[in-house]
Amino acid sequence: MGKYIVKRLLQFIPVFFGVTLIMFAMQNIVPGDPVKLMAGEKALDPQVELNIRLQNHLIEEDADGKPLYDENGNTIPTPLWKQYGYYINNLFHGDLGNSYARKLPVSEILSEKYPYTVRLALVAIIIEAIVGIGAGMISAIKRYSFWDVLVTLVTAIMVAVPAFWLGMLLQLFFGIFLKDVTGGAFYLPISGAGGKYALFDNWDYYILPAITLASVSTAYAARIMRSQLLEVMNQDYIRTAKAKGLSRRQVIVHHALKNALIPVVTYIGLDLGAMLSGAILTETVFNWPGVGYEIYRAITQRDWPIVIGGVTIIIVVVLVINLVVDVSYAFLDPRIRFGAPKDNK
Amino acid sequence: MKKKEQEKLQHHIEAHELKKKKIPKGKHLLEVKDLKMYFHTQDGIVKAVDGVSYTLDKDETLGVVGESGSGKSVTAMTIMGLIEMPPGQIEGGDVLYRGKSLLSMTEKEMQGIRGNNIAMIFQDPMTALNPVYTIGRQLGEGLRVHMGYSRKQALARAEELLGMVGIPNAEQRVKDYPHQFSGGMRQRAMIAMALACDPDILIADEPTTALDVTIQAQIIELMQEMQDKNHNAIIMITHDLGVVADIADKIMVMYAGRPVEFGTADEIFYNPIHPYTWGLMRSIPEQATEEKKPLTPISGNPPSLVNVPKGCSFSPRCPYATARCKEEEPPVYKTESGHYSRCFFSGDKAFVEKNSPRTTRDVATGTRKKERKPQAALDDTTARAVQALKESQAATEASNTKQTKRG
Repeated sequence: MGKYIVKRLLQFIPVFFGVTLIMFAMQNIVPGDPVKLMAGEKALDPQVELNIRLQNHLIEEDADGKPLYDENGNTIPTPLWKQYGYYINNLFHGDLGNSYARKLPVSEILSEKYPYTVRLALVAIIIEAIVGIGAGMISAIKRYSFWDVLVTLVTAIMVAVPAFWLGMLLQLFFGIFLKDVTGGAFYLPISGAGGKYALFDNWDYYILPAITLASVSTAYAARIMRSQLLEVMNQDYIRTAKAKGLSRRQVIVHHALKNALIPVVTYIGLDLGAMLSGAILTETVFNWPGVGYEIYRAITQRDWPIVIGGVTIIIVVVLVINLVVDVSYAFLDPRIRFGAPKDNK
Repeated sequence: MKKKEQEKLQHHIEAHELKKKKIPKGKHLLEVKDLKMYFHTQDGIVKAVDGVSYTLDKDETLGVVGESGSGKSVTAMTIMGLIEMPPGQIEGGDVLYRGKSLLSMTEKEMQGIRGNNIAMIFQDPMTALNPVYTIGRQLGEGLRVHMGYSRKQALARAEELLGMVGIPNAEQRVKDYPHQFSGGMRQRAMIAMALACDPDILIADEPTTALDVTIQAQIIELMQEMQDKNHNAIIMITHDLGVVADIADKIMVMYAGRPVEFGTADEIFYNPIHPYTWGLMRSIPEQATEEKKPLTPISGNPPSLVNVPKGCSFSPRCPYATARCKEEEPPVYKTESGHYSRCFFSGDKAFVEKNSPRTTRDVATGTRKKERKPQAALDDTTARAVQALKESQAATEASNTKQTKRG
């Protein structure tokens, strides 16, 4: 097991460098001078501009931090590979650069935003796990019943409805139609509530965004659970369990569920990774102050350091979550834990 | 609280009492009477089991032989109450266990019977064990359900059982998962699991089909050995006449959901009177012949159970079929000993004499059976032979395991 984890961790290295390289290249391919973007509308004093370029390693410098000039008296742009080197170096020192628009370190901005995304993702994943697995189980156990048809129908609709539209409908319903009951609370934009690291004081705030975020995946989770449970119930070992004299309940709880849950847990685990990478649509619809919304905002403003920094963090989170999911397999399935031998009958 | 628990265990207690009760006079341990199990499907009614009857007593072994889809397994599953209803439906007949009808029992009562009074082992030991639980846990499950053992007690007993079925190093192996066992060992574990609660009847549904030929013999040997110890009855379902030759006292040959011939093993092997049985015998490959002979398979395919042919269901494939066979259903021809057959010509001595195959395996099967029957008379040589055989088994299994681990 330890060997496996080390192997997987080593695989992070090429992925990490590949992604940062792509992001870095993108930043340089898109048109627009970063220094101009930093300056915004104002015209810059040449000396200030020179200093900014030096600070950001856009031009070559000598040992004292003075700019280097070529024979024509022009500054020498730093080659891209060297710029990438600086970027990676800074990255390993926890420096993701500074936001162009906000003049704040990206790491600071992201660390302020991330807790909101994490909490939203956790609430959403809890909803997904409980509702998805529960609905899938009911529909498999009571196959072809009214409940099965209902679950199948509702999940089909949930898959088809885009998250942003569902979010808007929920806001409309709870915020406007039910204004007298909710006081319009669900509709209120909740961005910026509290200070840095502050929780929303009320968990009510989480309900609608989390439902919106979890909707599609809940439907998939329910469908996977249903088909898995039905498939497992047809397995020979279920027949063996019945032949032992176990009741239907015991057969399902002790023999079918654990086997059926393996793929569902994987799906939900990978989904958690996806949710932690920021739900851009949901966060935008609800003005949720998470990384997804922040990245959306940064893209519209061409605030590249935030985009690159955010994506880099997200990559790391997704890689780690995937590893955790793969390791958790082993606890569910002993065939993986002990390494399956070649079949010899 | 106490009362609730009592209620919860009521059906188990009843099943235990039934197991201890004496079989009423004139009744058998298991009596299947004209059992009919039909499946109502979109294509029509599938008559999977259509009038099966037999009786079974303690220490007896019944071999049920037939091609795939002849209703062998469905008969067994019906006895166990493991058929989903619907689509299945019992259209007639009854199954009496110690004089009590199994078919009229509630699902709860059947749960008490299953695994406790009647146990079953299945064809493919690769898939019949739950991959996510240890062998020990799965072995002990029946004990916990029926006998109320604690987890610890069940595990200890599971260890004993594993040792009993000849798995070396049982105290370590109970902690293993099914995928760490070889095929033969898994089937041994299945047998141990089935015998855990000391059942009256062991139903073995093609227990050797998925196994290596060398392991097959060991598994059959093991089942016999266990029968000698526990005095349970065995219903051995197989499509291999060679398997039942070794073990069965009575043999029922099934075709298209019906028994076409039924008799003692000797009758079926030395004096078969149904053309289908002859066909089955001719399809057995002979191992030690001087020259290579082509096999004589039964031509054609088994009929669809939705549209069973008119008249004798075997007539389309029967080389001796006459016009009458294709029109009329043959009556049951029964000899005094209870040997019966569904064929117009079974009573025709000259016809049977002329067409039945000469059994070349009779020497081997005959001696083997006689050796086993008088149990007390196991002389030293046999005992020593059995011992040697066991050792070699253990050695084979051990080397198998090693290979598994290495792989």
